[in-house]
Amino acid sequence: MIVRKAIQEIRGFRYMAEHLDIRSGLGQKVFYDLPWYGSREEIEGELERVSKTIRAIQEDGRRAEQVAARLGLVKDIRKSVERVKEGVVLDDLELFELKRLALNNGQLQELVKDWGVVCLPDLEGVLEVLDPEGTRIPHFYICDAFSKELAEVRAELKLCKQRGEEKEAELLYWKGMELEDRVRGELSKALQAFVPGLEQALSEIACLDLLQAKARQALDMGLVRPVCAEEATVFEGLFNPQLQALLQKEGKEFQPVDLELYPCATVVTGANMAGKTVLLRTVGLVQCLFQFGFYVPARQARIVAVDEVKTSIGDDQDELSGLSSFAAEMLRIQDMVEVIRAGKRALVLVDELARTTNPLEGRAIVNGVVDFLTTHRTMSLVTTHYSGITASCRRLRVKGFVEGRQAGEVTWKNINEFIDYSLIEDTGEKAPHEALRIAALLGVDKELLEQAEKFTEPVE
Amino acid sequence: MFEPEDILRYRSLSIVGLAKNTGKTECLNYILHKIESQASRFALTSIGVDGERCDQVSQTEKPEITVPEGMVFVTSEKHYREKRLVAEVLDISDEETALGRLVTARAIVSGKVLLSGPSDTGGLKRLIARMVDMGIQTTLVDGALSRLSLASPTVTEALVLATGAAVSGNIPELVRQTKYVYELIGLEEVESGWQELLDGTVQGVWALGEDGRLVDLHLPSVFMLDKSEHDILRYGHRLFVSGAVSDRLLQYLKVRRQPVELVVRDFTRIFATPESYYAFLRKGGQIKVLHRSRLLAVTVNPVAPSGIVLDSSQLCREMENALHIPVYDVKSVG
Repeated sequence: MIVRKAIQEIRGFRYMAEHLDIRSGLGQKVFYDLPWYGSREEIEGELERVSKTIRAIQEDGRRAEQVAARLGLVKDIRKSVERVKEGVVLDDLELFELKRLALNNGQLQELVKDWGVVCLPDLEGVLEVLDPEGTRIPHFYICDAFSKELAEVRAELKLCKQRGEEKEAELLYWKGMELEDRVRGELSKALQAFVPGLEQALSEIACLDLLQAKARQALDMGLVRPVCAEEATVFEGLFNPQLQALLQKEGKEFQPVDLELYPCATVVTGANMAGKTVLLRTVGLVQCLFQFGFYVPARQARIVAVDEVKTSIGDDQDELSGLSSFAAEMLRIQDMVEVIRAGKRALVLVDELARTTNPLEGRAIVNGVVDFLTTHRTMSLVTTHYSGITASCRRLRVKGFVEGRQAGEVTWKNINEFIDYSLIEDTGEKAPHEALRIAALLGVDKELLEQAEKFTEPVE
Repeated sequence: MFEPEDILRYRSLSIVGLAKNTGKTECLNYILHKIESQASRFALTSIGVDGERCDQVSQTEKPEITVPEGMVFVTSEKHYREKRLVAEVLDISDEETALGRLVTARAIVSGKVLLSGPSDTGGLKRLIARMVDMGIQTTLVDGALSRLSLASPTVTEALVLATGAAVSGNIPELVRQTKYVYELIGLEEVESGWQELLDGTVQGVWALGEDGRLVDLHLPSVFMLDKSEHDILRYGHRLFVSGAVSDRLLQYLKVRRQPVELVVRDFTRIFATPESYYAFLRKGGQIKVLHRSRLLAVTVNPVAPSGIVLDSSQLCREMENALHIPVYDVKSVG
């Protein structure tokens, strides 16, 4: 999986990507192709670099601003470098770009030498080739210093122009062009020796750009450096940055939650509106951020690395694919099963499994899936409204609706403030029955609900 | 006239032709020639894709621009590669045009180049600002007065208008048509409060309410005006039209129960004939613009591609009498 795909698949990751202040066009392009880090070492390495970058920004904000501004000047010229490698004769525009890269590389090298996060190459050799006069200004043309002969032709050309000798000037112009081309050929050839350095500069600058963007995001959003864990994933004060920002705009607060995940199925129950879906999405997002080496939205986090995050969370895409929601869900389940059977480490997140079919078989399906996940020691969260989930699993319940949590009367507008989103260990296998109560609070017809109440006896 | 100091007073100047083959390029080359000694204080660019070496309509050759030594110029990647002069690359912008990115360069030895620049007003504004940052005093813009152009020459502070026999082979008629455009260029600017409000309004027809509020009349286009069921003057007699002003619009507004004051973005949005424009004014109508540029001079080209050659001195004299601003024959003064 690469970032581009994760943005499409993991809800909430797009928000994080859009709030990443990547300065260079180069960095932007490299970012979307970044791979999912599979190993603990890769993730820890990247997190360590982000951590160093954060320290550097905190220690010298002005310098960090200079770095960001300089990064903004770096273009994606991977194609031009490729052409040097292929031995093509470059034109002035490409030579200009290479010179500019070498200059920016030098400036950045000086600026971040104490950061200890990237290894920018020495491109002084490139500048010696492209800037024979040593002006170190990012302008370029085949100037007189490249060829004595060219300088003479140009001097003569200028004289001819002044004297108005058009024909003669034309001839000299073309002679000059030929000489310029010869110099371009020589320069392009001389640059071949620096291809590895140029490539390294591009990839390291992209890396630096991404690091400073991740670091700024971590500082802005109050993210934390996650610790790599082996057995269990443990979150303290987990929050969803997008939702938090949204609530803040309305003058409300997001309630962070604590959560532990073990290599087995964890079944989550809780009333409607208790934030189960948000919980699943947030856990998926955090895992994804972790795997791409980002800081994560929590007060503390210990996370187990996985190869894939597999989700089945109420998706509005089903109808578009021409499948019923049940069929689409079953295909997603099958996909998970295949991934797990193939021996991959997966984090599985399933929201209200089999909710669109009859409760009898629905419950059976949930039991089957939960049993499979526990047997295969797959770290997973499965939410459900069904009672009678007897398969081996851990059970959590969202505390849910608490009357008197706030002063005042409950209405559909403020009901969220009466919900306690924290998770508690549950022992029974009975799902909470609060649907009718919440429907009443939402203002559904009283008579209708009284009638419904009469049908709550089991039908056995 | 056209001494460097006259032009250096303005941050930007565009040269626009009243029609094709009115000598816009000769006019530009003439100005470039006059300011040669101070070339490094100027930059040169164009509006949009103006790239054909040969005019597609009349098959007359389109002269390239001769950039004097030391002058900064901005053109597309494609035209930069085809340039016929020695130049130093100063910058390559990220902004893409149909002909590639824009290259900023300085002429080391004078020579010819085809100019192509930003294709919209925003791009041209940014470019002029960039030139100022680079220490350029005046940016010259090879402009366009075309319905097809998304960039308005009124972005520049000053204008030079090129006109000529290609517009009409009859001197009084040519003077009349030029005077019409001259008057449009001189249209009064709307009050600055409205200017700010309307600058961001890119679509539709709006009423400028008496209470200072802008009210959307919910007309997708001015062509729908006569289909409107409501009285379009219900919020007041002042209207802002973001798009083109046609004969049909002016004729429609002319017969409203009270005289209408029309506000348009700039004079290039007015495509109505002089007849309907003057008829609109006679009925008490008024037109104001958001942005006005100062017209510095008019140049004339007495030669038309059809072969007509007008008497240069008579043309200049009659034109000057009608307009009261300097008029030059680009063919004879060069």
